[in-house]
Amino acid sequence: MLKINSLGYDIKQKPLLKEISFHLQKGENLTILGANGSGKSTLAKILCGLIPSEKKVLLAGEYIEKMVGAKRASYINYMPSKFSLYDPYITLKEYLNLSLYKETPKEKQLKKILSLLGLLKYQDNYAHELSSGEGQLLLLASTMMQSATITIFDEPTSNLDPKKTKLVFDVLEHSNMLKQKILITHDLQLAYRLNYPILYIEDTKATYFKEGFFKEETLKQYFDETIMIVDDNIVETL
Amino acid sequence: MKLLTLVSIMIVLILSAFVGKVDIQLSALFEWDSIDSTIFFQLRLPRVLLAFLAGGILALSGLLFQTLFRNPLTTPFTLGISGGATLGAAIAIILGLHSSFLSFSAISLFSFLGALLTVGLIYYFSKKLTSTTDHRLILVGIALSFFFSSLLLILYYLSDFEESYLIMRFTMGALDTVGYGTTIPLVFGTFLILFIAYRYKEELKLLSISYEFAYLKGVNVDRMMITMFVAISLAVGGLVSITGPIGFVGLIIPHIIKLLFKQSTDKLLSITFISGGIFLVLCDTLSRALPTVSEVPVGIITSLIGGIIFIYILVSKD
Repeated sequence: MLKINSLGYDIKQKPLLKEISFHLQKGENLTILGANGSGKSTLAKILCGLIPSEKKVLLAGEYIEKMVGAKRASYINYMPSKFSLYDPYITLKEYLNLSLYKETPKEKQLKKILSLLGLLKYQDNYAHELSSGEGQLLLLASTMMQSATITIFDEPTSNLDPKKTKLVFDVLEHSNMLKQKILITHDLQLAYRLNYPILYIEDTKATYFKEGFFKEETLKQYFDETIMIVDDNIVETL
Repeated sequence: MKLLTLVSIMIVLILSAFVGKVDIQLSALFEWDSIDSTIFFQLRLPRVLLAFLAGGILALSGLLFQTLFRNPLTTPFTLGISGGATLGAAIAIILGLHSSFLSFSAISLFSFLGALLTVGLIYYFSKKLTSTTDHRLILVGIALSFFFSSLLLILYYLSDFEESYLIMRFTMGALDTVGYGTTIPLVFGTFLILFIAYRYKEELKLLSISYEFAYLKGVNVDRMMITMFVAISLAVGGLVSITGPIGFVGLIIPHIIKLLFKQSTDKLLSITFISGGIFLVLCDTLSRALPTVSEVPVGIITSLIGGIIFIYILVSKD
């Protein structure tokens, strides 16, 4: 479904990513882990075409830069880590309806998503008045509306309180509006619970773990002593 | 409601044509060979029409540019269009070109060429930049503006008294016209800018969230931005070549409309055009009505009145 071939990316002549290859099969999910600044978000933006690449990203058998916009949007979507918008006078409802460019509005779907995420009471408010956490939920709602074949979530829980984090987990785990998911996160508990295959990015290279990433020796290799598994939960020690 | 608005606009426009140094006698209005009739139909009405279309184009282009570049300080002139147009006009003045083509003076034609050249330059630079989201495009426009105004100052310095007066008068903006010939480019400009605004209404709304958002929903953002940029610039270039640069309308009217209506850009297209038009008609009427020896250039009035209203609305909102 999504294939990248020896992808490299330099920032100011210094390589950030080198020779990255992987193949996401139909129906597969993926979690991308890695330290701050390791290039996870850059990789995500290349995958969805926001950062242009040439003949590196194959989406449903087609180079992403050659794809017609509407088709690309039906195949891949990206949820940024922070919510922001220029026009202060766009309401939540308008925002969500915009997620379906050139498609008929889906009123029922919209109501369902808003109430699931606890945003229904704000539907006629301006989106820019939302708190950062609610903004992040609106971003999630927008990806559910668009319902692309693959959705990349860039740190979807970074601004959230525990209750909202649980909500995001439930949506990722159970919602049938999301199909294949690529998750970028620092929240190892979330990654552990979702149990997707792991792509770990470190020093320009990516290592793929179909399974077995959450073992004591692997965790020790990547996180020293800061991460442990206690009673089937990921615990950060400080 | 719509009919009421339309009727009140017509009334404002027609009433403003009665204001000026010479009082128009209603009884003489429809005697075709009377002075009053000539003044009203050949000077005042075309002038009101010119002011309305110019104000409309300026205001709408401001709104569109601000949304397109997601920068509230962008004006129709930020990208150097008016600088190029003014320079073209100054060159025609210095060269002493007095001939005219159809009803357009050499000054207007050179000015339009200057605007076209600037659009070409900006287009060329935009291709060099990786993505049009880049604020560097606006910075390039500002740099071009400064470059043009330096060249303008050189021409100004080299010119004799009459030429320098003509150059200065052009840069202040003026709406005086005889007959309807000069309004033709503005009629075209109006159609062009309204067409492009409504054609890309949906895409504009997506872009008013962010570049990324519009791209991810499937909009070909780069192509849309370039198409809109060129079309709007042509309308503005045509306008400036006739009236000279009239400042501030393109900056403040969109912001005032946004603050008053609190709606997304796509719902404010026609109201912004109409408000800009009426604002400029009223400013121009005032410039004719003021008891001064010669008319106060309308650009001065738009900035004076517009500035005060704008600051009042900004401050009173908090």
